[in-house]
Amino acid sequence: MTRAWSTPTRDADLLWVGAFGVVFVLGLPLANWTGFLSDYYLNLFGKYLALAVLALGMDLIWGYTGVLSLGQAIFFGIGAYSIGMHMMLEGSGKGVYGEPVPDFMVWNQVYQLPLFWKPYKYVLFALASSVLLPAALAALIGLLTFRRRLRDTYFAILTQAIAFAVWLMLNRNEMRLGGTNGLTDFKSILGFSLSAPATLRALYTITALSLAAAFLLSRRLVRSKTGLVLQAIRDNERRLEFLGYDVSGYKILVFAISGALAGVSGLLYAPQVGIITPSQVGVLPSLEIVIWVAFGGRGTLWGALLGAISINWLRSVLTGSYPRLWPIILGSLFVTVILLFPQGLVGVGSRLGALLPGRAPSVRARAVPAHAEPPSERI
Amino acid sequence: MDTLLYVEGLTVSFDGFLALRNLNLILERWEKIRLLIGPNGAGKTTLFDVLTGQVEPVTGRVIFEDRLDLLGLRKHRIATHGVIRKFQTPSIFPRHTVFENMRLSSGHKGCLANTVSGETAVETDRIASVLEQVALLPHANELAGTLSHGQKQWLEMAMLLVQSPTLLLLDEPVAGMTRTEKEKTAALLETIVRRSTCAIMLIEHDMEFVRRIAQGGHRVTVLHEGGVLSEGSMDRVQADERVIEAYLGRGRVTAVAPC
Repeated sequence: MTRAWSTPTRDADLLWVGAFGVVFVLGLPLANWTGFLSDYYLNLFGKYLALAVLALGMDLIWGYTGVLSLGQAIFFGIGAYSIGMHMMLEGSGKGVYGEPVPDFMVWNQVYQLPLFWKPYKYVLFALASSVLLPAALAALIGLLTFRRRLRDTYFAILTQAIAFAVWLMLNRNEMRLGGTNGLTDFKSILGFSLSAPATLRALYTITALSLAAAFLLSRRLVRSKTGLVLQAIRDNERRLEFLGYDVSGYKILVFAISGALAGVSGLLYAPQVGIITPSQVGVLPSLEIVIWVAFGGRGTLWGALLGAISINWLRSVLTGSYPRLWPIILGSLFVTVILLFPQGLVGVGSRLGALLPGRAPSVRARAVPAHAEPPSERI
Repeated sequence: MDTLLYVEGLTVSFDGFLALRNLNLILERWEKIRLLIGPNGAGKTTLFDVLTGQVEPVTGRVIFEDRLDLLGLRKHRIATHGVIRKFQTPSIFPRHTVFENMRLSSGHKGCLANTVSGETAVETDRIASVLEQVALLPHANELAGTLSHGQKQWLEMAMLLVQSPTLLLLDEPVAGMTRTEKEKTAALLETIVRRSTCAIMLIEHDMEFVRRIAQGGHRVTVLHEGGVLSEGSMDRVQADERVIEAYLGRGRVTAVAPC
């Protein structure tokens, strides 16, 4: 039996978490340490894993709850810009001009640090801002839309409009966030030089661990009763209200969580990639996240991970050789997957798995008391 | 504290069409089942829509248990106050298992509690006992979408029962059922009424089923064109000239072309 939105509930997938941990948390840094994997590739994988956190959040709100958010890149951007501002300040005074403000401000004739930049001197503030600010913004957007019963289509359009507005604003130099060039030329983080391989290795490990933690938390969430409710929202929201559920509360909660995950993703991304520009915050990157999740298989968590890592890897490979073709490849990939494999890579995988001899179709084991033997028909 | 539901002067307008016209209805606490019958468009489902917060009336009052004004409450609040509704078509979650459907229906409904705490043994036992009542326990781990039509209807009944409702609103619970399934459903309703304190308001077109239920001495209300046409025991209602005219018809003579 194939199901479009199967929930991973068997504990066998913990095995996969373990395998993931061995390969990505221990394996790659070890391979790098022993010289099998170059620093460049380790860094590249660090980027993919950071983006996988973003995809997890998208899977929670879209894959599980069925609410399409086309503004996830905003939250990603807040995370990336927050840590970026901190790193800029850490490096200020060491720039070309030796001014106490980041170099790009000097180009704009700003010699005094704008007020809103000041708290970003403190790393704790920057960290909090990169996780809590996106969560709060998501909660606010959710409060204004879900409470008013805005239909999901309009929600998608609205989030897209907000993404566009944020992109427009970030592009302006008056925002004091580097305009179109964004924030770049980071020197160090927490005093560790970003050009040292050891720092990048540490950043990679932190990213892999964060992804594992985000995955386990998301898994816990979707397997809780809240997870059941989220999937019920996706399938029949109206019915749920008549069961006594305040559906908007759940939507706001999951949107805030997905916002926080996107923020974490940005936080992990910026130091490893070394640049964050408005082009990563707008409409297109938001749409791309949808493609990752659809490609991997929505509503499975694993699919989000798989989709984010594989598509970004593909992009790295293909943009090197065919930069102009990439958008076309990405687009056709999306269409192919939607038309032929609506369950994404995970769906293809499980269908292949079911073909293997001796594998019974997975039945979800649920806690029904063992003593309660099925009685014969009683009514 | 004798009136379970007090409906006064309810008028509902859909773009000028009056679905309910000054409808009055009182459900006493001792009444276990109230049957609602009437032709299509009489306003039966609209009445349920008003009671569950889906439709807002132009005028009228709806007082539940002598104290709670149901009008203006949001849908999920009405449900948590114990007014639970079953829809015409089986409204279950087809991609959840039977057990998961039941879990969704029982216990906490708030998002914070449900994120933190897991299922409890008490909850599981209660779900199992209600599933047993509707003979669905053997199917607990199956996807609800794979059940037969009758089983889906019972699953939905079980989902309502597990919430320990005060007032159960059933909209055509035997629609599309086979004769045996109907008989089982009637027996189930009688069990519910006997075992719990819950009152049932039931819309049904199937007159055979209505008569079967009304045997228990339950009152029947006939709605017509948005108002109450007649009310009382089945015998009284059936004998009412206006009811015969508007709804029941005169048996053989209907729609026979003169030859």
